[in-house]
Amino acid sequence: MKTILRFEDVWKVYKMGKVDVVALRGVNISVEEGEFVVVLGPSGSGKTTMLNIAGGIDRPTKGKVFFRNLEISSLDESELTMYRRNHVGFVFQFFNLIPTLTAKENVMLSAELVERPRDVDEVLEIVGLGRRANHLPTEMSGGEQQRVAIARALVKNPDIILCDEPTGNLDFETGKRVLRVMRDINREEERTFLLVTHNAVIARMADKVIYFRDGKVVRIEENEQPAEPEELSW
Amino acid sequence: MKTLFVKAVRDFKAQKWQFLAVTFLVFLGVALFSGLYSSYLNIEATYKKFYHETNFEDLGIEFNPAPKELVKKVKAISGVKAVVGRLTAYATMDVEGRGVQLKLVSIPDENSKVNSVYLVEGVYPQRNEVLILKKFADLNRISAGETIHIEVNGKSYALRVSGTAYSPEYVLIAERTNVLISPKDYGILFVPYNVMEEITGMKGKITELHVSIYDKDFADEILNRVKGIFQPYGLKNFYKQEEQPGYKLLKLDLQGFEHIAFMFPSLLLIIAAFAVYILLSRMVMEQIGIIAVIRALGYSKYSIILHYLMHSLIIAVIGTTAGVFAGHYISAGMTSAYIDVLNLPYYVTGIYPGILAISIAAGFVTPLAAGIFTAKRAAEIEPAIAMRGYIIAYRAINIEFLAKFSILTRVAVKNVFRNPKRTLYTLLGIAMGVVLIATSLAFIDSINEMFYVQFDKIQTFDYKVECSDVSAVKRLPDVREAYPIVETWIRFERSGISKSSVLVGLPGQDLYSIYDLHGKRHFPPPEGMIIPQYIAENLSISDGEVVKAFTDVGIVKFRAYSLPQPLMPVCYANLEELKKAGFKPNEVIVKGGRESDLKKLGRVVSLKKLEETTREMMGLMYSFFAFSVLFGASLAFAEIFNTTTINILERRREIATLRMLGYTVREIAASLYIETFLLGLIGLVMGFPMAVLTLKGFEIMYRSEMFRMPFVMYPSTYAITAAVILLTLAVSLLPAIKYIARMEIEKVTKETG
Ligand SMILES: Nc1ncnc2c1ncn2[C@@H]1O[C@H](COP(=O)(O)OP(=O)(O)OP(=O)(O)O)[C@@H](O)[C@H]1O
Ligand SMILES: [Mg+2]
Repeated sequence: MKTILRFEDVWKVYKMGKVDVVALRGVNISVEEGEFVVVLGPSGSGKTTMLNIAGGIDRPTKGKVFFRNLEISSLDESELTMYRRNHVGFVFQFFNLIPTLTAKENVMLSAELVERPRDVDEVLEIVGLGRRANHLPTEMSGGEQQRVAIARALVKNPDIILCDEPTGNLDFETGKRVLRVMRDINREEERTFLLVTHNAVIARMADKVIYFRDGKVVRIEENEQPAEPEELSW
Repeated sequence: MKTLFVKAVRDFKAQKWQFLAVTFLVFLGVALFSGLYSSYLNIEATYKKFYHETNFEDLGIEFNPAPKELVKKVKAISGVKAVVGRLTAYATMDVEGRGVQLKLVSIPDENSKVNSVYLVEGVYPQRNEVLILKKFADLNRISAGETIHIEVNGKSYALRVSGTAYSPEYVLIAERTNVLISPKDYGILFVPYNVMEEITGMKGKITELHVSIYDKDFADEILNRVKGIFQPYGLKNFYKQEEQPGYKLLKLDLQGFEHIAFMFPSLLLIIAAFAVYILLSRMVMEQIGIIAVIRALGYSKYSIILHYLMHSLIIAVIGTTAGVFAGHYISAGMTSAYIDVLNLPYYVTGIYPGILAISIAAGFVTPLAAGIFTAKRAAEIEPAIAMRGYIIAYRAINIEFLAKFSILTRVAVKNVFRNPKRTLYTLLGIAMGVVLIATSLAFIDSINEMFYVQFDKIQTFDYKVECSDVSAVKRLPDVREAYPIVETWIRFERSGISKSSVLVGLPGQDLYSIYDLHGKRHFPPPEGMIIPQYIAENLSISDGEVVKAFTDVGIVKFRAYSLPQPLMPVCYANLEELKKAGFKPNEVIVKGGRESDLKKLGRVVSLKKLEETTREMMGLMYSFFAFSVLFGASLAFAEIFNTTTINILERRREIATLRMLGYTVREIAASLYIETFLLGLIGLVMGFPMAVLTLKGFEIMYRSEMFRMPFVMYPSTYAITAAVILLTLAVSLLPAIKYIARMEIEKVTKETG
């Protein structure tokens, strides 16, 4: 298996006036192509920070980050934009759909960025929203909105999909449905997923689990037999 | 990119009233500029064409009666193209029981090459026939073929009207001592020379001469030679084309129009730029989270800039396109309305590519320039930070002194200070509203002030009679006061520049007073004379300096004192001083008395009638100002409404939280009212000085040599403006409060951003 994402001794320090907040202290991780990785850790442990750096919307203070053989930690602003555009799909902690655009238009906004996007309707069909394509975000439930966000990430055909608490704002049943969609895409299309959560139960469905605490990776576990989303309960 | 365009259109729709309001401003700016400026150019082209067609004179000279044969001598001067010598006289006539003034002018040959008469109806006059100025004829319902009865120096003449005509000299009728002439009360008759000889009793004589020349560069030289020829008879007045009274008045009037055509739309576009800036800044502030997402998806900074400029572009395209079309109609309407008050037989219209280009450029640059700042700011947003949800860095403040007020008052006051930028936008919006309403109202104040200054302060007499016998006036029934005055022309010349004005000689009395711009009364100096500020400045005359001037009684010398005067500035001197210099009183000002009695002594000007005429003539201006008051008020309303509603809507999540915490709608509303009125008061305090400055700007731009409008703002204007603003603020809160009352708390918190 090939490595798709690698962190080498990555540090992130936020300067808050005189106080330094250290969000990441020497993180080393690697994610392989086609893996479904879950990052677990308590609130404030640095998960979102790590994900933002992986996705090229934030930069490490120190250390190196590689996407395949590309060192993204040394890219400039416009190169990072191209990196995000062509390789990364984001699913944010808050749904972050554009409220004035319909579900389909939200997905199109992303599709238009790449040369060979997937068919927008097909992607909406995959996440089970074929019939809601022309609805505005405010007309949809939280789970439906989150699925639109997943479709928006998928439509670009990204190499890696980064999800920040994708089920955090969803009820149990809806959350499981969203996870099912992700897992299917991961298996059928061999897309790599990096999913951040503080919900330990979700870790059971991962190929690999990375544990965070105080800005450090404290443990990495490989799951020999990952559970199906339907088997989870919280 | 396509979907981002869809988003821009949706953004527009989501705040359509706000966007339409700013688009309307751009539209108005473009429409008024292209419309008014094109009509200015149309009018200029029209009078140039007319002057050319009718061989408008290059030089004119007036003198005491001289032999007609001298015309040949002038014709012989090299460079002279055509000459006409003529006689003039003043007459009166009764039209439907109303006395009107007439000026009789001997008509040049039919194929004369100077000041040709432009025949509209009928034929050239013969024997006892006359041509009559078309507009005057229409207004008084006199038509060709009719016989009119006129009176000159007590003698009556019957003349047949052979037709109606226009003349380049009388596009606007102006006399040196009177520029406010109503076209209905003052007519021009073009009379064959031999009839004029008979009427004036000056056989074989002429009193004025009009010349056209081949090359304008030689105007001074030729004028000097002409002056030389008539010097022995006594010169009364002379001028080059640009000093011809009718032409000069027309030019000044057009200049004022040009200023308005430029300044008024500019003001609108400046306000539009502010409004666009405020609208877009607020939108970007609201959409920070969205921008972060778009950037995270892989859109570049550049696409963000383009996206937010797209909003400006939509405003520009709609506003400019509609503006240019409307401008076309405004131009046509304005041109014909303007020509309507001029004595011109036709008008030309054109499409001016330069004006079109400027209009379109202004229509695009205004919103785009205002938008580029916000678009750039939007592009600089750091997605990683914005994504965390906290967008606006609120300022923590601590106002100890508020401790004794209720919690909601404290919240209200804190809100004002908490987000300085938002507060500043709101304040600017309110101040702009204050400027619009206050200056519009001040226009009306200023017109009233003008009438007050002219007819309640400067001239408080009832009649002015052309008559030198004051005791004859005093003997008439009901005459309470009567004083002799001198009213004549005067002309200053210095190092090639010459300026003419009116000289008024006043005895000690209170019916005709001198005021300066600040309303302070002055008296003619015991020796010397008060001269208008513009003359002192143009000819660099310092106070107390001895200057020479040309007058009816020849060259006089006196000490000059400059005074900035409101309305029409003139020269003032002590009557006794003028008498010593050889002037004779030629008019009597009268309080009381009856017009019918006074008429027997000479030409009468009734001040009451003059005031009526002036008001009538200002009708067009009045409606323009009334329009601008309405417009200003509605604009201010829209502006403030906009600002206030956005101010509340922007905070809907915060307000939803307050509602969830258990505050009642009534409590939140009270807090909003306190906050809004607090802002309103600060906005008023900011707005009034801005309004005064704007007015000052108008004062400077309206100022001309012949007229200076006293721009004032009455206390009532302050009061009305404040009331309108506060009321508008109160009303603008209603939809927001209704919104809060009906607010579905969960839907608001679900929204992203
Ligand atoms: N912009 C910032 N400025 C200062 N400190 C920050 C900033 N962003 C994050 N931090 C700090 O960095 C640490 C890690 O934050 P991060 O958001 O990565 O945590 P997290 O693991 O995602 O937590 P959660 O599960 O609550 O989302 C926290 O202590 C946070 O306060
Ligand atoms: Mg997080």
